[in-house]
Formats: sequence, structure tokens, C-alpha cells
Amino acid sequence: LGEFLVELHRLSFREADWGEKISRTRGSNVVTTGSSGSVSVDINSDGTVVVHGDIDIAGGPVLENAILEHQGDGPLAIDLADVSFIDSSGLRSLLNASRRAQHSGSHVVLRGIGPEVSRLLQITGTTERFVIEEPRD
Amino acid sequence: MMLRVLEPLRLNLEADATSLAPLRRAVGDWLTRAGAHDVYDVVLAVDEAVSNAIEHAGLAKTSEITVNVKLAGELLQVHVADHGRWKEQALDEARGRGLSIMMAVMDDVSIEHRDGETCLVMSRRLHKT
Repeated sequence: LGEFLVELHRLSFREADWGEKISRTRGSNVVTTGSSGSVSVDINSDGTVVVHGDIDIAGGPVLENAILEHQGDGPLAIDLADVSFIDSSGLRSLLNASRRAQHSGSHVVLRGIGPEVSRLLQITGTTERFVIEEPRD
Repeated sequence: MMLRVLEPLRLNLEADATSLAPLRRAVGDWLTRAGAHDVYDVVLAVDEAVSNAIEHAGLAKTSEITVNVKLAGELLQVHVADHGRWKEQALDEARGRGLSIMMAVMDDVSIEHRDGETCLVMSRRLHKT
């Protein structure tokens, strides 16, 4: 256990640490909106993915599926103005989206993020993976 | 302003994702009443700990996870106990995710296995609001 914890201390937040283990299954059902317990996701007419609620292990997969269905080759905007809690489940989906966008020479815009989302990005050193627009205080 | 002395918070939760939202509210309310700063950091760490227990401990949904939060002076201590035994693979997977976040926001994180129970213990010196 001691060795394990020492190893933990060496962990950094490299890209490889995030998002690799999530299984991406594109089902035959096209999900335009979804909800699960604490979260719901809508798609705006301009293609913005709008998230409401808390993103945890119950809500993370809902966000992941919505992003997978709506992410094209261009920039993807995700509106988080109505999100007051996010954990590593939600961050994984955002980073997966960022990685896919970068592969096609594009980027992910996070709009309206509050102090919680901002803090999680800061803790994990992942702020620079996104374009941040209109953050809330 | 001093941190207020509160009765320790003790929660018994079903090992299911739907337990997380009420857990976050209870821990957040408790920390706010104690006059703690950085409530989100601690709520995040507890959420990650319980999420790991739910996802990886191989628990039946009906089994319970016990969360204890207490304050000794400015030292916050959190215990998350379950009756599952985290699989090696689960530990590997958790390393890059929740545990890293817990270690970033708490001063100390350790895992103890004893008597068929896995207990994750975290502590952090709190700042006052």
C-alpha cells in the first residue's frame, strides 16, 4: 500500500490520465436530448450543447452521449451556465470532446462556466484545453 | 471568525449513483454551517471517493457506504467506508481520475483495508470564510 501511495503522489495530470478508459459506443438511437437523475442536456438551434444540473457518474454518460452525437469537425460550444457541480466524470467527457476537436484542427468552447467548473479545470491543469467564453463569477 | 464546532456528520448511503446528489447537499450544508471556506473542494473530494466506491468496489446496490465527516479544530477528517474490496484494476483506473483530484484538494489521502472493509481516509486543514 505504501508503494502504491508513493506512486500516487507522482501522478500528474497528463492527457493520458484522462478520458482514455471511457467506452465510446455510438448507439443506433440518435440522442438529441437526454437526462439522468441530476443532469439534462439540450441542443440549441445553433448546435450548442446546453447542460443543466450536476455532472457526476449518473450524469456524465448523458453528457458524453450528447456530445458524441453532435460534435462535428468544427468548433463545439458547450454551455455550462446552469451547472453548479462537476466532477471527474464530467471533466472526462469535456476532455474527450477537446481531444476529438484538436484532431480535426478545431476546439471546444466552454461558455458561462462558474467557479466550480473553473476550479476543477484549475486543479487538473486542463484549462488550456478549452476556449473559455463569458465565465461567471 | 472561528470555525463552528458541529456534531460529526454520519451518512449511510446506498451504493448507487443516485446517492451522490443528496450526499453533496448534506456535506455542503454541513461545511457551510461550520463556516468553512472552499466548500466545493471538499464536496468534490467526497463525491469522487464515494463515486469510486460505487463504481469499483463491486458492491451490490443494496449494500451501504458509510461517510463520516468531522472537524477537530481546523482539521477536517473524512472517512468513506464500504464493504467491497477494490479490485487491482479498479485501483489502476481510479488512479488517473478521482484519486488524483482527492489528493490535489486534500492534504492527506490514504486507503485502509481491514475486516472485509475498505476505508478511504482524507484530511485537510480548513480555511475560514
